[in-house]
Amino acid sequence: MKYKHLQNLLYKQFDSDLSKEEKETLEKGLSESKKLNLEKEQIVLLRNSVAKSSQKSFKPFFTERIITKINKSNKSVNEFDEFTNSLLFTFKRIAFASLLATVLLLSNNFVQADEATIESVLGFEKISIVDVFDPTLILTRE
Amino acid sequence: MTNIQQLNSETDIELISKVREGEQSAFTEIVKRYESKIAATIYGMLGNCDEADDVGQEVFIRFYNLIEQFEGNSNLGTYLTRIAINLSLNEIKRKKRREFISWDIVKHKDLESNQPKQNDIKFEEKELIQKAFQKIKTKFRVVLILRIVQGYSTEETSKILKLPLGTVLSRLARGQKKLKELLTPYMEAM
Repeated sequence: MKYKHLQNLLYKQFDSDLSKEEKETLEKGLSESKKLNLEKEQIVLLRNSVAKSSQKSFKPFFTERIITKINKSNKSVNEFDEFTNSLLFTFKRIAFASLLATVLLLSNNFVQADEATIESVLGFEKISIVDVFDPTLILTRE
Repeated sequence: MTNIQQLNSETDIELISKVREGEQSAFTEIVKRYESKIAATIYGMLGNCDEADDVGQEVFIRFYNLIEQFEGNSNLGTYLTRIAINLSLNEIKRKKRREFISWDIVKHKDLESNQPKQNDIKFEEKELIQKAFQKIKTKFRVVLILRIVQGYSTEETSKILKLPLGTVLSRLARGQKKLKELLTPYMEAM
């Protein structure tokens, strides 16, 4: 139990400040226990080895690969923007032409009609609900 | 002074504002400046695998895409390290999802034995430590990388991982104990 406590203090001292009492306890433990001293040496060795062992670089041309990827994604974003812009440009023209044609058609209907009703402007014939369900209507029309 | 020399002497904030203005060479300088730091984090987290390089690239590409949002409240190295840790954790999760007996697991089994084999002693120390790192739990590994490999203080580590200081300290101790346990048979050779 006491060794476990000393061991905890030993680990703690590498990463945090110990209180005065903790420091004294640890120092006393280190002066009395060879095992604890050995463990301290092992921790120091381990931490140094771990710090040195890290790989400090990626595969060659790492920066170049990143820049290429960024440029590629920028290019594809630009291509997409260009596509949507040209689509919008074309669509605007079509929409404007359709609107103009509709207005002309409605005006023509209005001029030719005898009365100013929505049906006449839209070019609808006057059909009652009975006519809709009358099967002979199709025949008379033909 | 050439453009490259000039960029070398500029601060991170100056480089970032140049990247925002569209100067790509400034971004290249940032990548060069932080490659080693990010490599150490990612290789520590994932081990020496093919995915590590892809994750490394992703860290910088994410940063590039989010550069407008970087307010400079934290140090750029810390910011990139945080992205690297998050992406590495995602990669670990992804790997776990497609878990099957891979060659890596077979390779790591050597470390589970307490007695070193003759061939193992020939292993390079660096490789051995990296493999031992992969044997310990992610939550311990990440604190060891930040504290011991990157040299962040325990307070900084707790801020980066958004963990209480006490948790960081206990994970550091447990991680080191586990690492020591795995490496003790090889320690004399170090």
